[in-house]
Amino acid sequence: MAHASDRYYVPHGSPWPIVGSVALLLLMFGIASTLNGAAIGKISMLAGAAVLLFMLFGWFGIVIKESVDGFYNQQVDRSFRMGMAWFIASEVMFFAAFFGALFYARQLSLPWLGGEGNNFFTNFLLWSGFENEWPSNGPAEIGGDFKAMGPWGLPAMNTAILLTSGVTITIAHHALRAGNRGMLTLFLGLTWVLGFLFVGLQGYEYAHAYHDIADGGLSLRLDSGIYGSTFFMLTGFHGLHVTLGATMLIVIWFRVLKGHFTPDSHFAFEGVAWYWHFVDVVWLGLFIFVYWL
Amino acid sequence: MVIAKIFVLIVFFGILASLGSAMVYLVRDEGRADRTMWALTWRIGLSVLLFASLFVAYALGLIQPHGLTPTG
Repeated sequence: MAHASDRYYVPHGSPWPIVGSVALLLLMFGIASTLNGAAIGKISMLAGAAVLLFMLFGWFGIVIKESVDGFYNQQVDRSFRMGMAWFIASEVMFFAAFFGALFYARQLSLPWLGGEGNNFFTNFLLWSGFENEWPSNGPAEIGGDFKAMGPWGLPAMNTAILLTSGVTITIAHHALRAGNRGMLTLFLGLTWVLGFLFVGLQGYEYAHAYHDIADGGLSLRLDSGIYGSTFFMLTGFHGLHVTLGATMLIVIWFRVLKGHFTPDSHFAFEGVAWYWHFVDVVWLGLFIFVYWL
Repeated sequence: MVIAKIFVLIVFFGILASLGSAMVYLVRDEGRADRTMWALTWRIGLSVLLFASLFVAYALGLIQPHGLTPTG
């Protein structure tokens, strides 16, 4: 803590916010162009992703250097923790919206369409003969012919993988508090390997889902009615979060290798570890609500 | 069986509670106590228990996953 002072550290003249803005502009321009079939879209998307990566490296590097050089006092540490709490609050709302959509479709709108309660005429006049079942391909088979994703095989295996990674990060956490750097390095390393294994298997599962039933797939796509939409929205955004979490795990793994954390000073580790437990719980919720209940 | 589903939901709420309390400790303890770590240890312990009990409940015929073909 060579430079720690009673003043709240504020960085001066950082170029990274504007670099980040350029990255997002290129990305969004690329995505919009690609959706409209313009050839330049993919190039712009790749350029945006490259600039974003450059920004992440640069910005993370600066923040880590400031932390190691002792610019951050207790008050800055507190503000990081508050920032983390508010970020998680927004994440909870994000996932609550998607889980809420699943709940609404299954518990409310499908029973209504099926004529439950005082909705006899909804069913009789709109979709006569429609029965409330889950998984549903909707009234008039709007979702087409598909098979639902079963819980055995890859989903169960992926759950086991994520839970194992939850165990390894917990062992790493105990090792950090006990000052055992060897165990910490090993188990934190295992955690991000398991994280990327999960993402790889999820990609494989998606390919299987998207293939036609005739080709041995499930014909299950984003437009396969309310089941397909909620399935891919929930698992897709979760997969994105796992990718993000695993990337952050790698960053702190390198920081562990460099000896940045002590048993009493390791907010970055705690933040990432908590985030990993969070994505793990979201998956468990998905596994239970999408596949079982 | 409804009772198996209620059990699953209760354990899941326990998991949410331990994860939530870990976040509170993360903000309050500022890395100088073991409460965050232990709350997260409870979190993973309960999760493994829940995953294992799904298999047991299935083997005992108490719970069934969704069918494989949609009906509409």
